[in-house]
Amino acid sequence: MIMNNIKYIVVVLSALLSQQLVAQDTGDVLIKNGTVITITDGVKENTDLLIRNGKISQMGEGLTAGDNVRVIDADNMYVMPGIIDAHSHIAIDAVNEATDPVTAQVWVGDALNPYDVNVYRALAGGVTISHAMHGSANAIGGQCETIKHRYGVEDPEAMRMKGAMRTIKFALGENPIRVHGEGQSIVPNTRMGMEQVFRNSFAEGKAYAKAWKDYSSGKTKTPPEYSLQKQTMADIISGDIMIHCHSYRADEILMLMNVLKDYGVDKICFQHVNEGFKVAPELAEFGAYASVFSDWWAYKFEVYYSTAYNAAILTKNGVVTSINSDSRELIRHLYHEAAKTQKYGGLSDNEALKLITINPAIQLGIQDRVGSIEKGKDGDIAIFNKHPLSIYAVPQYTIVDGIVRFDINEDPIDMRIDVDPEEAVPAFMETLDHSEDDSCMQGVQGHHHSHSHKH
Amino acid sequence: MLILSFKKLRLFYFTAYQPSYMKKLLFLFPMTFLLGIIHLSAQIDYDKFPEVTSTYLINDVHIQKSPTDSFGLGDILIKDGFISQVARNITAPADAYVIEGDSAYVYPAFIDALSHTGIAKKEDKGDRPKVKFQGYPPNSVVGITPEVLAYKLVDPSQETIKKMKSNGFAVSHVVPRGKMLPGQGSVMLLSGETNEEMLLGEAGSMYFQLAGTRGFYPTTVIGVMAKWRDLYRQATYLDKHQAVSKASAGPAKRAKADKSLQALVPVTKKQQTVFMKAEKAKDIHRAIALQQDLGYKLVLAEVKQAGPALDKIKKLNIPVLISAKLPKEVKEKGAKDKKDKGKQKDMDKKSTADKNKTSEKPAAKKKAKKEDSPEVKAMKERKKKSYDAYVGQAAALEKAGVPFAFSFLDSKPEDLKKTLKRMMKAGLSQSGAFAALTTQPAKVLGIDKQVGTIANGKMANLFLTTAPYFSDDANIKYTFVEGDMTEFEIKPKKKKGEGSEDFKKTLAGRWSYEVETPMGTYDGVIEISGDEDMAVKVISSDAPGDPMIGRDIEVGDQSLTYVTTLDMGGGSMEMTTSVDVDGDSMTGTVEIDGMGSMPITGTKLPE
Amino acid sequence: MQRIIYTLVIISLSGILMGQGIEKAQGGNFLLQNGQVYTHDKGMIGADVLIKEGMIAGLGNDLSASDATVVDCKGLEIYPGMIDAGTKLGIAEVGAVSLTQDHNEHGEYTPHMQALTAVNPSSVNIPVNRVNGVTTVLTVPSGSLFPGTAAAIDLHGYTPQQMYAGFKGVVLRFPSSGKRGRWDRRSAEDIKKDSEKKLKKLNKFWKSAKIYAGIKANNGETDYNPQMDALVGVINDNEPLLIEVNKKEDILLALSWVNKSKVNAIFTGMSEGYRVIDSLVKYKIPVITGPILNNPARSSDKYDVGYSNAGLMSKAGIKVAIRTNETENVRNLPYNAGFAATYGMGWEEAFKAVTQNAADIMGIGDKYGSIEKGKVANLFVSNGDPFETKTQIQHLFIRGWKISMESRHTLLYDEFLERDPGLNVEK
Repeated sequence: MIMNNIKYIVVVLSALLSQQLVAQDTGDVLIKNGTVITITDGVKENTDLLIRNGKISQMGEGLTAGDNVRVIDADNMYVMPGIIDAHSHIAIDAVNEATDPVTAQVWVGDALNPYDVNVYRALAGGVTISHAMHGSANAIGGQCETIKHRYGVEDPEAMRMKGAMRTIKFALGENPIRVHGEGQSIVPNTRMGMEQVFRNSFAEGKAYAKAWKDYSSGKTKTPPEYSLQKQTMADIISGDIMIHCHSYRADEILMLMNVLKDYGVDKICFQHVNEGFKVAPELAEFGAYASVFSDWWAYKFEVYYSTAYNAAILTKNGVVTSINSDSRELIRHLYHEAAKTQKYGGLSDNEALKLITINPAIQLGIQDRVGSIEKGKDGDIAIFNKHPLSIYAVPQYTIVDGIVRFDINEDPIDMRIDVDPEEAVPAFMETLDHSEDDSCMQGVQGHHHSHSHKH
Repeated sequence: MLILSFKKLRLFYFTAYQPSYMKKLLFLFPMTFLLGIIHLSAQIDYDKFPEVTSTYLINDVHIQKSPTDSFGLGDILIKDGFISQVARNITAPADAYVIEGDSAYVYPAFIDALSHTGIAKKEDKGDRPKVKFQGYPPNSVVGITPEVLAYKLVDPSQETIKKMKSNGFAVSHVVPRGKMLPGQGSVMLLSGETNEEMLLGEAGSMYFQLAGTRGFYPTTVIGVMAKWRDLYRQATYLDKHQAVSKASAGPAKRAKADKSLQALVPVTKKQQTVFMKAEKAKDIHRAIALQQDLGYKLVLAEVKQAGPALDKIKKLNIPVLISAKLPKEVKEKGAKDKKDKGKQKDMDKKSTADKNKTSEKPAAKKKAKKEDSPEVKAMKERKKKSYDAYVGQAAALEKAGVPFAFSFLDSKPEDLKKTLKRMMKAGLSQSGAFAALTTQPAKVLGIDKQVGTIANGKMANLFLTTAPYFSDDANIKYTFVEGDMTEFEIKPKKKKGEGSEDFKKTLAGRWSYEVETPMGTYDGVIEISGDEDMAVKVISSDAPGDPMIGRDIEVGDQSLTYVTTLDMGGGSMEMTTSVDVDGDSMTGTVEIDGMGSMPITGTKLPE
Repeated sequence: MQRIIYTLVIISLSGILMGQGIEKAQGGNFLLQNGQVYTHDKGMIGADVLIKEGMIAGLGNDLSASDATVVDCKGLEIYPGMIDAGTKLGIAEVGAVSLTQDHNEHGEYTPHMQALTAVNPSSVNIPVNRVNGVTTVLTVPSGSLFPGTAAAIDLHGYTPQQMYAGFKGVVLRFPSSGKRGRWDRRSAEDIKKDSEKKLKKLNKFWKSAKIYAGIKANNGETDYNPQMDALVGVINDNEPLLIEVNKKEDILLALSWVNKSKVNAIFTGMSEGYRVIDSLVKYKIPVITGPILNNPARSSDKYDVGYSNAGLMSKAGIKVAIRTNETENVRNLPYNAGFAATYGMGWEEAFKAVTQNAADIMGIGDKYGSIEKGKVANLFVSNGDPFETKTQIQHLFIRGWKISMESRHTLLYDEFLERDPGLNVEK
């Protein structure tokens, strides 16, 4: 019995691991007779879905594939696009380089951790893609990485969603002010100072780009001093990088949009944006996106005037909105978080599901590849036994690029890949406050001394 | 009077990766002798006496010329620091110091491909430097000192040098200690009175660690990687800038002087190799990602978990230095052991049952102690697999055809043989082990023409053991470093095996002990009776009236292991104490419930 | 607008009792007609509910009361109000603003700290959470070994005493040998040492408390000693002690401690309760567990242990209540129960875990936890299964008061869904 268990774990894990040795991380799978929620083209009952070489190749009735293709019987099941989380901090070994208000040069993609078991737990909640973000300690934090949940690969490079848009984390309000204004006694200590930090960095980036242009055109003879930070700012101005900005209050959201207008920057997704509902018309006009919590509020002063109806107000005002997790816990049930918009604001099924599929895809600049079930898109699929917005829904299979990465019928207890050679039983983590040690302020000194969530 | 003091006249040649320098070096050899002859010592120091000869003849020894070439019985003639002849029946020259080998074994001395040998640990005083902007600290605050040369930090009197030598090493590639960019490495001979004397040459290496500094940029791994990209590219453009300034083509602004960036210029020109500490697979991938991004020469150091990155390493042909430190050994107990333990456990059960009479305990607790749950069993199995992968790393590299050497950042040279044996048990060949300690590090360091094998014209770096190196009886008696002989005292071999009666007698008596714990030092007395049945009684100074009785006692070859249970009213802790005994002192660890270990030291009390 | 909001903040933070712009609760007697009523024993029954003077005065068909306001519940379902047996509601307001946090006093031994004292009846959190059907909570102090005394409160009232729901319990946070979070850099040995040290403290304190309680039992004289006083009821009168414990090894140790100390224990937290079911069954200790929406505590754990833990305990015959351990999001109690239901507990048991079981464990089961004649009129009327996320609650009664369905969240929605002035006037 025990040996069987062990064997089972080994078999499942080695099946996962061996997939990486295959040249490309893609597979074939045929999903039969499901209720397919396409997101962009309605719900199709009793429909088959064929994924070949990691891409959705066919949708219809009575589809067949060769003998070697795995067939999933999805009779009485719901088949939806893999869920996308536009804000998380899983699978990275560093979140905050909290030493300066501006650290545009750092990149969490440098510290991907394919061994993070939270990736598997996210898969078990139907999530196939997450946006691994720098934290919110700095006004301009680091660059982020969009990852595919190919749990089982050991090469961090294989976690990246190659071709995804470059993104960078900005942060407004209390966190950067506390870390730098209060912590270091430097600017920014106020929301006034925040604005000037952004203006300064954008000005530097602009000047830097010009200096290099002058050098490469021969106008100047010697190279300017290289700066990855200024280069990154220049890349934001040129539109190569989309901003994802941690924000709460309406005034600071308006402030940043004004700064961006001055530099011609138009790609921005506001994150958390708890007071986004107050400036929904302005966000919509700017074309800014919003990625919000379903119901988090009151964990700090700047979110005291929040409403769980935020997503609904934003959506109804025409802002492309997503529901994110920012948490190793919430990422496991984003389908339930999205359902809360039906309680708070009465969104339709499709409106609610868009918040965790095509909308976050748009916000990450990957909507051409994922976020809906369409021919030619990536074979990223989540299959539920009940409608995914029901509290009784249990994810059954999660498929990434046509490879089944979570299968509830083959789900061993211990899914770690990298096992400590000296300690058999991993440490127990107390949960003092359900979200206390999560996310945005990870790695900031002294952060844990406070009794509250900091997002 | 005109004693040849070759060693003192070693030239500082620069070798690594520069074969052209090698040629120059060979050309210079005759010069060396001339210089030697005219060398005169100005001071008279009768506390010492000069060596009378630099010629040695080692007679009648089994010679392992290289990892794969066993010469068989023969003689070795050493002259002026070099091996002048390896043959059967060499006639001793008149000036030779003759060592009768008596069928002993001689091996090329080992080469440590990366360590801090001879460099003292910096004391961390915990002072927080006064820096206004944490994001812009001076380089020195965050350990960015690529201009530092390792040999300048080497103290020839450091114990670590002797330790390396007594374990068969002649050459160490030393790098400074520190954080992100501690400095440049130097190849040191483990013999000499000054650091300059020891210096064989600059290694052409830049030591790089993904190590941030708490509170200052860069703090995190992502900070360090970004900073590295900045520094590297800044150095690249600095060089270009300087070239423009030199050509004085127009009114170009002079580049600001920056010793750190200047020191990195050779790296950007591939004249120096980056030796990067990369213990875990993730670190290896990060090291390679940076290298692929920027394009310098890379050596991976202190590698412990190459497995998941093996394909990549092989494909990119990146030299690897593996760590000489392995995870704590998983003890596999023999059948006989188990029986004895069963007995001990039964006895122990009785005594704990007595103790616990006063307070009833939940049944589940006792049960849990007796047998692991299926879940824990499975986890132990997985841990074992992981452990096997770490121990089997060397064998896996060998099998994959990836050459490797050893680095010693995290291990003691005296543990090397044990470590090698564990690796060999996991499949590493003997010649593979030797290669990783001789020819391969020589190659990585670009000194393979000079050192690494026993051959005519090679530097006389070798050691002599009383038996084949890997046999349990083998002791290193001599190590030669560039012909400079060190003789080691061999302690009379005590009878090996469990409970050697002599050793039991040594153990018997009262020992004072100290355990270093995070809560402070705990001390007390261990009473050991060395009769036929060993008994161990631990009396803590904190609770002298309540001694703990040792069980599962194992007496090894100069070692003792026992388990005690600390009852804490309502719960208990299992502690496994393992000590190595050397005469009147013992050192080892106390491990609590598999949760971690604390150092223990002890001294035998007079009768 | 902004200014008005800030004025409101300052007013509510300063604790002045003042409306939150929310409609007042409506008093009087009510007759809920034509609805389906959920009962624990018979399931859904078609019945009317009569509420009189704060209590359920009748349950059945053809009830009539001339003075009662009739509430038509046609097509709707009526459920007993949910009870969250572990929150900080009322004693914590804004997370990161420490001066609004009243749950954590200084000192290792402060069992005499009364949560009820610090309950702010005007907390903005209260309306936000109750409109999801949570009518009663246990509000629990946090902190050291004996952080204080928890109190059950109904989520309507103008003074803490008005809100008090009849249960108080001293809290013991049993020494933990787990990590406090990812930032906890203590080594395994340090953690073990710390927990042992704490255990020693506990035993020493307990010994003194027992002596003190012994003196009291014999009517002896004692000096003023509020710390010990707080434990007299637990030691002499078998009043329950709420023991917060989560890790398997700690639970076993706590069981042995309870057994030795002979206290009437309620175990709370219990995230690894499923690992020690045999012992729990043997010692018949009731459990308040949660949050259910919680990450596994060990990296080697199955992803859904948090979801399934409550069901595993309840299936083994342990009396289980579910808590959120929340403040501002106590409103997620039905979803915590819903996940437990989905992952093995079943709907009926999960619903009991947030109603009758919670009341029983707190010793107020005769007044709370179900819709029965003679019980406190805490109930809600919904358009369906309260666990189902999209279900809307239509009416809410607490102690017979018909509570407004408004809260800050609904008010902001009403104001901002179609903001006026919108974009154009703003410019």
